[in-house]
Amino acid sequence: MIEFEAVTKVFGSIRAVDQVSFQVRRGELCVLIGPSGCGKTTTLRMVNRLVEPTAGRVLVRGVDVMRLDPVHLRREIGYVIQQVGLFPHMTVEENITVVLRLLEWDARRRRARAEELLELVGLPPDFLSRYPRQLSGGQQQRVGVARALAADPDIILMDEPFGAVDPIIRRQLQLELKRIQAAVRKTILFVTHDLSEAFLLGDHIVVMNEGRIVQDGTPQDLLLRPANEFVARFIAESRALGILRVRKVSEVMDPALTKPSVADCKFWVRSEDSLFDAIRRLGSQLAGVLCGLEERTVAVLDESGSVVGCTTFEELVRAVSEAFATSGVPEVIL
Amino acid sequence: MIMRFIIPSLGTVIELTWQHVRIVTAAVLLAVLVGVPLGILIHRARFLAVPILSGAGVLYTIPSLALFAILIPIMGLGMKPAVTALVLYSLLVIIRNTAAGLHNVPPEVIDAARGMGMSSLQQLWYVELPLALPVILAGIRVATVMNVGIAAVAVYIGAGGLGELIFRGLASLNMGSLLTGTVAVTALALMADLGLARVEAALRR
Repeated sequence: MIEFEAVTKVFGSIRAVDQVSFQVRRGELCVLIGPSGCGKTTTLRMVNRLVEPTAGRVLVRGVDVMRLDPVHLRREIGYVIQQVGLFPHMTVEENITVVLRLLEWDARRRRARAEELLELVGLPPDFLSRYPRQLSGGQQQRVGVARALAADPDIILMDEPFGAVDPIIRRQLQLELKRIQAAVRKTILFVTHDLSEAFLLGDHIVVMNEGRIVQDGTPQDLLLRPANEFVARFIAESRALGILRVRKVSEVMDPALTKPSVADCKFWVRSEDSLFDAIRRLGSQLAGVLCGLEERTVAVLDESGSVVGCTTFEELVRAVSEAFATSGVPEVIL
Repeated sequence: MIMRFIIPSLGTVIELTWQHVRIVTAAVLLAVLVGVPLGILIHRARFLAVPILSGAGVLYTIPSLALFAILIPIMGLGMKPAVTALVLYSLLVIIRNTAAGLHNVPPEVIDAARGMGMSSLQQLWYVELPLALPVILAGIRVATVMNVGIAAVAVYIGAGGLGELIFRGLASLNMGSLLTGTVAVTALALMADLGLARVEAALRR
């Protein structure tokens, strides 16, 4: 759906984006993550031609964006930004339906669509006639999301959409996005610097640093097989990951009836390991082993070394994501 | 020297006030027609800002009598040169406020407008101008009030208006005429100021 082919963007003497190649498949939520200034926002903005590549190609639905009219291209791509950017002189309804007006929908259809979208993002219908300044930050961003969805674009770009709201509301909005995404299945490119957000939402995570991609993979890959020191440190330093230190493997394992023998499983963790330690342990066991990560059984051992249950990589990673989702606000707890 | 005190008839005052209002209104409307596009231009093409603003700035500093004198050989006497002079005086504040108003539109709002697929003109029409309107209007208000004052001098080139009362009062040593003219000009300026302030406040909400 979206493909980057060796894309480079130079601003003056700075290579903001350097030889970036990756793709986002249809219906997938791809997270671009990295420290500030790593080029992730510039990368996102090249999709709808708010920034034009210096070299390389960006393909949207198979077509080089430089061959498309930017105005039309943008109307077919939803766009949500951190500062929301609602039009302060327009009501919520007018804000949501701006693109529909550009597309010349008639007033009644626009109204109906606005009502539908407001419900989808979880706001009451009487909000239609309010002005943005009468809304809280979280409510404004819900309107921002509704506005991006208005013309039912199949692609949505989100640039740190929940970065400016407080942590509790942020978690709520993330979970709602997950719910909305499950319902509407858009192709989403999502920029963030918050690792827990990336794990919670991403089907696929692209880690960037200094304009380059340092790792492109699933959340599992990132946790269990960090491509290099940078990714490992980025993950370890994420304060959100602290939540993983309090959950134990014993809480997520399956006390299997047919316990696998240690010999059958190449991989093992201890039941008293925290999720964080389990990931580290598995990471070191994986080093040098070439195998897929899907459905690999992991034996869970007790103190004495006897098998007390089993789990899989997938299960562990799901537990990680759930830990983020249900933990409320990791940043505050820690 | 004996000062007289003959108050001019109400009919005369109304007629001259109407003339005055016409001169000022025509001048402000023309100045908006010229100044707002120029303000948009310098907002979009920044390199033009210095030459255009300095040009308008120079016009602004020419004393009104001198400007009228310059315009007479070109346009003759009457309302035309008067309106022209007032337009030239108004340009600076209108251009500057238009550019300032556009400049104050939050960048994220512009980014959102572009990102959702508004063309450059649509951005201007649906987003930038509406948001800049209060500041543009503030400029129009300053220009209007200023013009009410300067238009009083335009009587020297035969444009009529309330300046006539002041001029006649001075010439014939009639304090009544002089004061009536002065009070009328002041009242007109205040009314214009308050009226436009109301509109501005309504827009800011």
